[in-house]
Amino acid sequence: MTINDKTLENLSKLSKIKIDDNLRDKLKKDLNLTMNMIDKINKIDCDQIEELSHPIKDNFNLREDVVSEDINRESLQKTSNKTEDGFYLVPKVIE
Amino acid sequence: MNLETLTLQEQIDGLREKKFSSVELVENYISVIEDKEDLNIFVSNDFEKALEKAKKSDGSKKSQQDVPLNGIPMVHKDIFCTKGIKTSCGSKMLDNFYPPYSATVVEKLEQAGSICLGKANMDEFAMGSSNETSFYGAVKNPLNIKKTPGGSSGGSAAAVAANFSSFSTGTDTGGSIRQPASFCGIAGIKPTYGRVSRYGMIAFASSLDQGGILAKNIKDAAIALQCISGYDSKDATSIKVEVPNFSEDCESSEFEHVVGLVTDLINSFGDEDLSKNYGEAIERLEKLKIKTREIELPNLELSLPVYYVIAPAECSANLSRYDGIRFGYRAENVENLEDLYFKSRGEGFGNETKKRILIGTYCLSSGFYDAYYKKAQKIRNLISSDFVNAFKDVTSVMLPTTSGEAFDLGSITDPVEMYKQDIFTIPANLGGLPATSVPFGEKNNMPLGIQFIGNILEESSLLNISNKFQLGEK
Repeated sequence: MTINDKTLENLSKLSKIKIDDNLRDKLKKDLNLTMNMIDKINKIDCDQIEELSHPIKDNFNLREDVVSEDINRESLQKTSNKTEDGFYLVPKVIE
Repeated sequence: MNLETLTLQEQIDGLREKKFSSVELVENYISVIEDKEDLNIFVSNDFEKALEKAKKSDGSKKSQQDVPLNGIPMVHKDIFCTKGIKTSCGSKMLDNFYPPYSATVVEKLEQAGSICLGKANMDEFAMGSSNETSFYGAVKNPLNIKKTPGGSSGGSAAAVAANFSSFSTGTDTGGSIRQPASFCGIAGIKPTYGRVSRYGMIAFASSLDQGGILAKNIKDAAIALQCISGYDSKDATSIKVEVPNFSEDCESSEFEHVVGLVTDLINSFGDEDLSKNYGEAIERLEKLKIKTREIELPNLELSLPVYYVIAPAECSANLSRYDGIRFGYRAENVENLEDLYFKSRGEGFGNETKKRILIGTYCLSSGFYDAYYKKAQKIRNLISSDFVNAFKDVTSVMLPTTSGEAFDLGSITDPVEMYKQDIFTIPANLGGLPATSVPFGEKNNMPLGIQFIGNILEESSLLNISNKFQLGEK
């Protein structure tokens, strides 16, 4: 089994997702089924092949680095229900 | 006249000839939508504003050229940000999200004069092939309510099939426009990666995601695609080329076609019905006197494992933005900042999304990066090269859209069986290629679809062959 309890715990930490105890077994089973399917790629010899990370070659259309519109802090912060004086509120980090 | 059953082209003509008004169109749709609420297609609606806009459209003096979709009602997949209107992406995480800006696709369709009636339900963060991963529950297929409409753009497909609008927007990362179009008996197009701006389209897997159109037929899809295509400085991956006239090209007699076939590959699946439908599609091409040629796609079956490394890897990075602080779901009763992250993400994401983030995290983690992510990108190149080679001899490739008809809701519990839904649609995403699904054939009284894949930026030719195929013999 590729993904055991220890791996799942590590993945939970890395991805910062709390995993409920009642979900663990099902999740482990599904992840292992998926990884078994994915493992087919290990049988393919493609050492000499280049990686393809972007489907369209040579398409770099970076815009001029100029301000085109102002960011309205107030309207952006409306998406959070915990803000104060233009700052986002989080639980205390420094004691 | 049943206004809601008209095609987009018929609605455009009818409005221009003043056979009916935009207000009448909108009122008709609202009544249909309210009648069919049980299908669970809409996550939110905007009827009041839609009626207001319809009144304005009816009084508008703007030319057809300036506002080609003036007064035409439509539906957006709830993945496109709509300023001030809830945009949930099918997730509890964004159930409270009212974006401060609109997606470029949304703005373009507004500028074209169309009127958004509401936002369509979808699989959570576009991760799913049956609409069952939505926080709001599954959409029911309007053709048979026990069946799935497909996913992830299931709500958008069902909206067109149920006559909630003549066209809708969708997104396609591994087949999310084409598979639901096939399951609901309508047409769909995923254009070339970069043809349509991804700005304001909530990200799943950025190198695969592409916005597109679902419509009653290919001609309508071409008209709407025209309106959402084009370079956008807000999306660095959008392509800086002129947009051809898709609706004219769609019906042009200028295009020469050679359709690539993979008969042996389809027969190798050992599914009689699949082979039969593919064979009948070839017969239709022959009757239409369209040239065909057998081609090889030797790595097609590797698309599935490659996709399930690359898409989750990109999703695990994209979805790291949901931290419970700046927007989206925020957990209560937390002990510290770390706890806020863990609980917000644990409670805000559904199970399928969690699964994919965890797979992506695994494939990108130290010690596995080369074996999975790097390797998958190499095989992605192999698959993409198969198409590059094929397009030396053919102008498009014909494949089934799916291996079967819409399945019963709740009937697939094995994740890998569900992922196999996309075996024929994923390759186009890996190669960034444009692809359509055209309704063709049926099984167990449900529609099937045939898929055409075109070369990069060759949507005109792709729409042309798809339209010819859909219309059949004259």
